[in-house]
Amino acid sequence: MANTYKLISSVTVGVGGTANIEFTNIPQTYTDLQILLSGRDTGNGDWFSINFNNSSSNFTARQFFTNGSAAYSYVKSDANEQGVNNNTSTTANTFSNTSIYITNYTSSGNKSYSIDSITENNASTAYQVLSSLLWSNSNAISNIKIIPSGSIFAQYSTAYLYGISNA
Amino acid sequence: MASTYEKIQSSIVSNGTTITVDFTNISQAYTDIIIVGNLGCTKHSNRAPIRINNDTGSSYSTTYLRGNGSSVLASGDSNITSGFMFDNIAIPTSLNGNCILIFNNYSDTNTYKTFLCRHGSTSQGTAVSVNTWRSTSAISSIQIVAGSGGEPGTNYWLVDSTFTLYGILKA
Repeated sequence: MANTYKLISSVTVGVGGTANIEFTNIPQTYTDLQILLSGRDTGNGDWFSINFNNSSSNFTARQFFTNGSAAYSYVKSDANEQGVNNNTSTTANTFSNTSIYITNYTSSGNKSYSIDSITENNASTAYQVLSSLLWSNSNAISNIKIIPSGSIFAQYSTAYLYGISNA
Repeated sequence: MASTYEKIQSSIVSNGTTITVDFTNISQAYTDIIIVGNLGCTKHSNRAPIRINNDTGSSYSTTYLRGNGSSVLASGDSNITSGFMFDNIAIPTSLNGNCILIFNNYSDTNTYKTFLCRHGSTSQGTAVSVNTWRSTSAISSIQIVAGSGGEPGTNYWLVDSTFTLYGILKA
């Protein structure tokens, strides 16, 4: 049986950081996509946003969020704050862990996806966010851009894009 | 990644009368198995049962954490007749629901089977549940049922709901 989980592309952020992590010309030959992100913001940003096909419109989400002391749930209707990054105020050399799973990314229907995202910190406050999201757009996803909310992605941040096929 | 992640079976709901998605005769050749779904149901019911090997006895327990957009709830249940996803959270009535079900060591015949369900939808909420099936039998079939909790009548999986079973091999 064919292998169905393949690395499409990867990014390792170099010296000086990068404003965003972007995957372009994503092949349309898989069923699902998964991105595994290890990120750190060089500023004070806690979050990252995601754009598909260079669009930041028509995103909705329902999330729950914990910070080490309380839990919240809320509804969102923009592309911001989809997952969390470690930042300069958290323990040095510590990066977030995030999984972004996009089902049926080439379909002509709206694109539903999920994000599990956490930071860790040698302190009482760290973040965990689970999100169910929807991009209401019929176009196949060919471009994914991940944008930190504070400054830029720090050196050694990594992102791996995998394609998963059910063929 | 090494060539250890393979599709075993997939199911695309093709009619409006499908209540149960059934993966049968699951190969025992892998270490872990994962089911990925993109789903919706005809009703906003909750509690989509997950049964293993067609066991309908009181062999399951579940613990879940969910956020519905306004509040967070953690709860659970024991000695129940199935595991669950979408417990205390409505199943969407459009195809904006997702689930990822992870069964570790599914073919082990010494231990009970614990499986993790990450599921939700942008219209209803986000949740994670942990379920245990108290059996040492290897998992050879999995049934995912369109739950009817909270609403009368039969619930059905929406046409074009997709479920795919993958195998992950450590060897």
